[in-house]
Amino acid sequence: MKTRAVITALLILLGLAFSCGREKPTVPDGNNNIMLYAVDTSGVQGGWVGIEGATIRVSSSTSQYERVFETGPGGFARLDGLVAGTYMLQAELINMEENYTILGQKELSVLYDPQTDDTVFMDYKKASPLTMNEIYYCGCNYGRFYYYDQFIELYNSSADTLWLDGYIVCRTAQSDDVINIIGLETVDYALAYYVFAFPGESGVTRTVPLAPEEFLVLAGDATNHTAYGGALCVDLRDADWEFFNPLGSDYDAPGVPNLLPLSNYENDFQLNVGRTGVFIATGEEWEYVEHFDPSMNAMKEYIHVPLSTVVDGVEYSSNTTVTTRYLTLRVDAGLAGNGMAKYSATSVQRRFPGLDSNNSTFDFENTQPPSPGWQ
Amino acid sequence: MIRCRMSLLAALAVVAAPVILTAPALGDGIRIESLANARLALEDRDNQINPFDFGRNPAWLHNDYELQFLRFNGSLFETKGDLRREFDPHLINDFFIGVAGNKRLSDRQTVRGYIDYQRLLDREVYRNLEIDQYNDPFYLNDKTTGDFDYYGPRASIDWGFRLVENLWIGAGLDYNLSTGLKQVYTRPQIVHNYSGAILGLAWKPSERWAFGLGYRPVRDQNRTNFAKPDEGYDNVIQGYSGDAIYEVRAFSSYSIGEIEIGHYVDLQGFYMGDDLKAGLIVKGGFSETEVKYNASRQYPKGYWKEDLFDAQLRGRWTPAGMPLAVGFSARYLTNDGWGVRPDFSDVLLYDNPYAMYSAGLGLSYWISAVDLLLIGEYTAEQYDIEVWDNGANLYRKADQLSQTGRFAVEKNISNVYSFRAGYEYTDYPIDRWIKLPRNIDISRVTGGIGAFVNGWKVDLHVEYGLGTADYSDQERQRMGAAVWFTKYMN
Repeated sequence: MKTRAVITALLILLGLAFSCGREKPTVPDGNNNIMLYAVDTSGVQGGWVGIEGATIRVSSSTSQYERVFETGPGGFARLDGLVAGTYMLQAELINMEENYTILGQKELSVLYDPQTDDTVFMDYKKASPLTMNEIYYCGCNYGRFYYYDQFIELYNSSADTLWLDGYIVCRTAQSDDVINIIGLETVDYALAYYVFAFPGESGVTRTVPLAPEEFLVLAGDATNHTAYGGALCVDLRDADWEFFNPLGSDYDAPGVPNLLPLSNYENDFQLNVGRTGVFIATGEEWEYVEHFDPSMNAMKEYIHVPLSTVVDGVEYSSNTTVTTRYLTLRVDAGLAGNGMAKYSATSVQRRFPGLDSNNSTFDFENTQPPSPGWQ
Repeated sequence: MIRCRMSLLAALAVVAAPVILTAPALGDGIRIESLANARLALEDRDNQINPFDFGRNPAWLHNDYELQFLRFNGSLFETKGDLRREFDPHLINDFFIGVAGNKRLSDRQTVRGYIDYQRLLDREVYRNLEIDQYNDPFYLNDKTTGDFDYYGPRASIDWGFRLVENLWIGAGLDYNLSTGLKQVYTRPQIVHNYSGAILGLAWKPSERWAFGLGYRPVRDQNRTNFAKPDEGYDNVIQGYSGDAIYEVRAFSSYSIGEIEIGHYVDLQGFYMGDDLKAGLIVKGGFSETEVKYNASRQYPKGYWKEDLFDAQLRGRWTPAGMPLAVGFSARYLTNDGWGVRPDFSDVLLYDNPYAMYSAGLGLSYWISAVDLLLIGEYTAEQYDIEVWDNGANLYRKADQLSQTGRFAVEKNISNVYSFRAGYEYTDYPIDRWIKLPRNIDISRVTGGIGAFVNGWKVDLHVEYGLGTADYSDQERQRMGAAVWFTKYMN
């Protein structure tokens, strides 16, 4: 009797050992099937109608996923087999001959939706004619930590000359703590750390022209960097403008006009070689503001730039996912530069000049070698 | 491979580690290995039907082995060839030297220990950045093919103690530590750290019956550390969850850790009659593996769980007065492995249940006139495996019979010299992920010599194995040798 009781107790113990731990989910991942309806709301085709032949670009912000679908008759596209995650969908219809673009975007989070329907509304693109067409930030020589050949290439996609007098070029703040305290999605400004300005006054003077369908190269230092950093580096002697900070020991290339700093730091305009945000604004409004930085336990000076003045913005990151965004989704809903290695002499460039859906994941591709002034 | 020996539980995780890829387990007697591992009907001091030899219950150690010994051992094995899984090394060179001992501390307690130092070279590893890419569905890759060099010690100790008459307790500990470096970009350092304990209880209520209980916690940690490379650019890796979902990570330095923690309980029952000995071990438990990115602020990226049930029966009948032994075995094993991404833990990323049913029969016959031992055995293992990689929308299924036949012969001369030879043939091994090439046959030839020399027992083991596939010219070879120098103290 005692033996039987002991054996029973041991079997119960074995059973308990077998049943511990987390419970297995009952529904499978990868079973999200979306019937997407792409609707043209521009009214050109007579009211709201589904667009056949629209390209549906799907990108995930929770894993490496990029796929392209096309809508069929009635404007429907079936997106099958999506794994659980957050996706950015972009429906686009680009007509190069007639020079119009109809775009629509949607962010979608799915977990287990075997059969769901959704709609993306498309309209004429209302983007600025001035865009950052190419950004080169990653550097070219790891051994020397050489990244001074950075540049930003602007492009005028309009039919008119643009005047950039007083425009500002900004690099965002990069402190996760500060940004999280502020909550970028809850405020109506972008938070800048480096701000450099073109000469003149926006909307008043006319000294900085950018002709239609022309590029404008803004160099960190307008010199031949192959002489200092090696063959992979970029020769920027032909740059149109140069960032120059007279407060520090910055190199000032002779004959190249300068963008000068508004911020009170001594640094040159430098882009992070792995991830940050860059934006341009008209420069009509901005203000100095101090924010508390918990990591430094001190107040730090930043510049608030109203979103209403922001012309274009790009956030980039080597990694697929980021925990804190440096630019509000209202300026850039995606990330450029995914998978780019530091010091690999690679830039991010728009798929074609002027394309601007405000989602860098879809707009940009990694390009090697960098191409300042041309595409 | 090292991982099959490094972790007893990792060995359980592999359904049928292909024989040609697997080195002898540390506890296996060299004589048994030289006899093609034909252990069902083989009478050997390391192969008894009792709670220690069959179930590694340390509580039975004091009863298991009355001799004290000191042993020095060394071995070198090399496996190479293209008949492998995608991320397995093309060549594995495994060298280690060690020392083992068994000592009776008193008339009621015994201790046994082992320690060795291993150098493991994994050559031409395609993309893989883990010590074992196949221990769960979460794995790391870069885009290079490179060599890994691992170095480190392994140790184990067992202690058995008679508490009162017919009741024993025991404890055991296994510990492995190794550090490996990939020789080309991205040059990660892989630190492997395994520790496993065994707490055992044995009770012998009558002369013929014995019962045991074991509790086995394990902790297996693998950490992959990346530092700034010399090549002049960032480390770029892919972190996979299943075979389709992945993240790209670019950094100069980073750390990714994987920790498996498991708990297992086993019940043991043995009948030890004069002619018939049989033992049943029923084991249950689970392990949980968590994959975390970054060193300080860690991000959970993978969760893998295995629920295990394993019932093993083994017996041996040695009729009195006959030079014959008949061995038999049966086994039922189920392992339900499944995984989720922690950010989406309500949906099942990966599901990998399998069941294995096995039966075996062995026969040994001793021709006393010429002091020759003949052994033969046959084992059949039926596998039912399913792999649901939901993230990749992939499904694989295997319903496969794996068969192994062994034949061995041992010639003794004057109880001083022994000459051993064996042949083993395995038809269609399989792994739990169903990623091993299908329809593989493995032939293995073994040989060995044992001799008493100046009070030392010297054993030498050699082997050569060849794996081939029905459908291709790819092969995988294995060859190697091991030597034991044993001094018996009694």
